[in-house]
Amino acid sequence: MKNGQISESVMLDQLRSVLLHDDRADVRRLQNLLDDPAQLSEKISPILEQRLELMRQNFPKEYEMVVDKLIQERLKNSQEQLIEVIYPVLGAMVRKYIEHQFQILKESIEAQIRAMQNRLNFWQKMKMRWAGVSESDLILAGSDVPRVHEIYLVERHSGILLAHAAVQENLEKEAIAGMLTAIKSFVEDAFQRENEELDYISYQNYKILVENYRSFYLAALVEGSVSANERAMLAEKLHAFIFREYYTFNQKQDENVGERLSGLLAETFIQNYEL
Amino acid sequence: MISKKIILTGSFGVGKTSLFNRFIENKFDEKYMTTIGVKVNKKSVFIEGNEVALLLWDIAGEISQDKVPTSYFLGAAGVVYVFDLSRPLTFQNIVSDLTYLKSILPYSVVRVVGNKKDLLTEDQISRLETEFPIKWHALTSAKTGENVEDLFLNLATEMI
Repeated sequence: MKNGQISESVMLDQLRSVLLHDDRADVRRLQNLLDDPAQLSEKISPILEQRLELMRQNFPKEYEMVVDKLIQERLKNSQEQLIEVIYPVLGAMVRKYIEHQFQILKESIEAQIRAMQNRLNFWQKMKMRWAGVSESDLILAGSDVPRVHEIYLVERHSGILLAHAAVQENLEKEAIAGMLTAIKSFVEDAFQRENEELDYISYQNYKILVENYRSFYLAALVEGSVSANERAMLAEKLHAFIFREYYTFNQKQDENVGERLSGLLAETFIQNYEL
Repeated sequence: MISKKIILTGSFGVGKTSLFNRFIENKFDEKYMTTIGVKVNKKSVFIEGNEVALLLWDIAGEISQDKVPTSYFLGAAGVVYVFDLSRPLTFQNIVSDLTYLKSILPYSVVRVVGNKKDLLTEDQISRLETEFPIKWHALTSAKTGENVEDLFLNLATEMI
């Protein structure tokens, strides 16, 4: 009986080795592959590369929203830190800009004084000395006379330019009229004060004086300092122009109203007008 | 010469500025820079021998149109409502947005435009069209320039 059992177990072993021969060979091959890093890397690397490439290609599409949200949250949570980091840089930039502007101003004044000194004749210099006026005072008094550089007549809501006059032709005049209207709209919308409209914009040596009417507005670009009195005078002259010319043209329903008004604006405010 | 104001509006990142730049200057930039406030520029086109000056207002994107300052819309003869064909989030409010636009601009010509056509296949576009809540007027690609010029020319024709 025992011999029978032994022979049965040997037979089973033999049977196993016959049946599992191929599988065991595969397992051995896989074991060898796993034990040898060089071989393993050779097999796996192309698959990993392929997956990584796929991820690289699809990442923006798949994860755009998630990343956007993460960035927004991070920015929101780190606002204070961001300000801390940016603040010193901004300060330095502003300081540098102001220094630069002062330098330009200084050079401009010096150049103007030199030019005026050359223009003054002997008798003028003598008279000034006699009257106790310094050359610099005289020059400074004449250096800041405000002048109208451009005038825009713009349809109030659409920003469409109806007429324009300028010392020098401005190719961007339609875009400027549009942007000016957008800025006006933004300011008037943002502060939401009833019956109040933007009437003055200042940037460095230029001022934009705005006179508002029901369906249009006039904007005058003025260079130089404008006193309250000068501003009132210009506003009065603009009003007079509108009542004299604009409404007359509108009544006649003239087809070339824009062109004619542009000519009149140039004649009235650019060629023959000093504030 | 006739002048008309056109508003480009829609959600953010849909390509309004890209359409604006493609039409005005025939250029495209891959970089995305969000519009602050509004940008205005002009381009003249000829419709049946008449010169028409189109004053385009490229408005900063908002999730819904009632967030845009109302005064930007005033005086507009045409509105181009832009959505991104590849981002459903940009047309989820389309019906209420168009109702709102019609209420403040009842006499304006409104065009619904799906942009970034180059990102979708014809099959994907067909599938989207069947599920879309309304009928769009044009599909464009600011990147390739496809249909951009036609969009504004057709709008100008309808406006005059």
